[in-house]
Amino acid sequence: MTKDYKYIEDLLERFFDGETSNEEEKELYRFFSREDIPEHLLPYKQVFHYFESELEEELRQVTEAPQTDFRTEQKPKKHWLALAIGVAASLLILLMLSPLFMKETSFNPYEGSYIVRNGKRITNPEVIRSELEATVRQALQEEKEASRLFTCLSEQEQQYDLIEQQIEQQQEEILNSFSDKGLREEVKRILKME
Amino acid sequence: MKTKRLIVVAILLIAGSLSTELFAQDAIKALVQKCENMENVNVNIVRNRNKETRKVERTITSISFSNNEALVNEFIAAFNKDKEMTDQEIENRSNGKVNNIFYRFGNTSYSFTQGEEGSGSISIIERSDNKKDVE
Repeated sequence: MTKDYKYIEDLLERFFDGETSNEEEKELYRFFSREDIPEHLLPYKQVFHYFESELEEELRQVTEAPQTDFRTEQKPKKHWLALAIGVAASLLILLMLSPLFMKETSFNPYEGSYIVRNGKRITNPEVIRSELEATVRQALQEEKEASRLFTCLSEQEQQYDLIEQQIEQQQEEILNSFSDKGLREEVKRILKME
Repeated sequence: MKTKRLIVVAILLIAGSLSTELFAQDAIKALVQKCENMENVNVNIVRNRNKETRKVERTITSISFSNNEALVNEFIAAFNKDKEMTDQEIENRSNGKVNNIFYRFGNTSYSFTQGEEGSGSISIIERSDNKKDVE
């Protein structure tokens, strides 16, 4: 008896190993839909019956799906999905921006600054902020003024150097106009005295 | 042996020049430190931080006082002591009295102004790099 059903048993083994072709599977379904199934193969009848009914159900759903009212059934699902995606995206953006935001708001450009009045150190930024800003303004103004003065003095110095050079040139020209050596020495002495 | 001596001399010279630079502003700095613990002397220390790096890019020290002729003289003496190593120096006097002094040592600038009746003010700007403020 077992020998007679050897082919079916082989098919079954290959079926559960996932090696059967569509035709072979159809053959198995056909076999298990029969009434005269040997006793040792009876447990598989239930299994194939189950598979068959599931497949039928799936096929029915696929074929019936376009006939259903797509808009009324799918719209709420889509709506919730869009809402969920939106919330998730917002949360993600918030999470990503929050460290930057925190960093931005907590930044104190005068961190570590303080003022001392009668030997007492005051560090409260709200109390000393205006004082600190005034200090920065004044110090930079003084430095700017000093730099301007320095530039001015440097320019004056350059002008003096230029005038000195011009005087020396003129003296040289005057001296060279005297051919007599003695007279030239006398004029040179007079010019140096002045 | 000769090479060794030369190396030692070179190291001593380099160390000497470095220490002179380091101690160039010592007299003024020591006096500024002293002012922090004095009564009737206003001291403001401003640390300007860069918004992006959060590092201090400029420290401004401001000191002001009045009715303290002794402190005015101490500051003038300190400025004179540190005068040698300045990169830029401006001194404004009238009738022998110091009105203003301005020194620059690298990235640091010092300015001193003498007012009436023993009053004086000092500003020190220290920059962390070579960048100058554009106002």
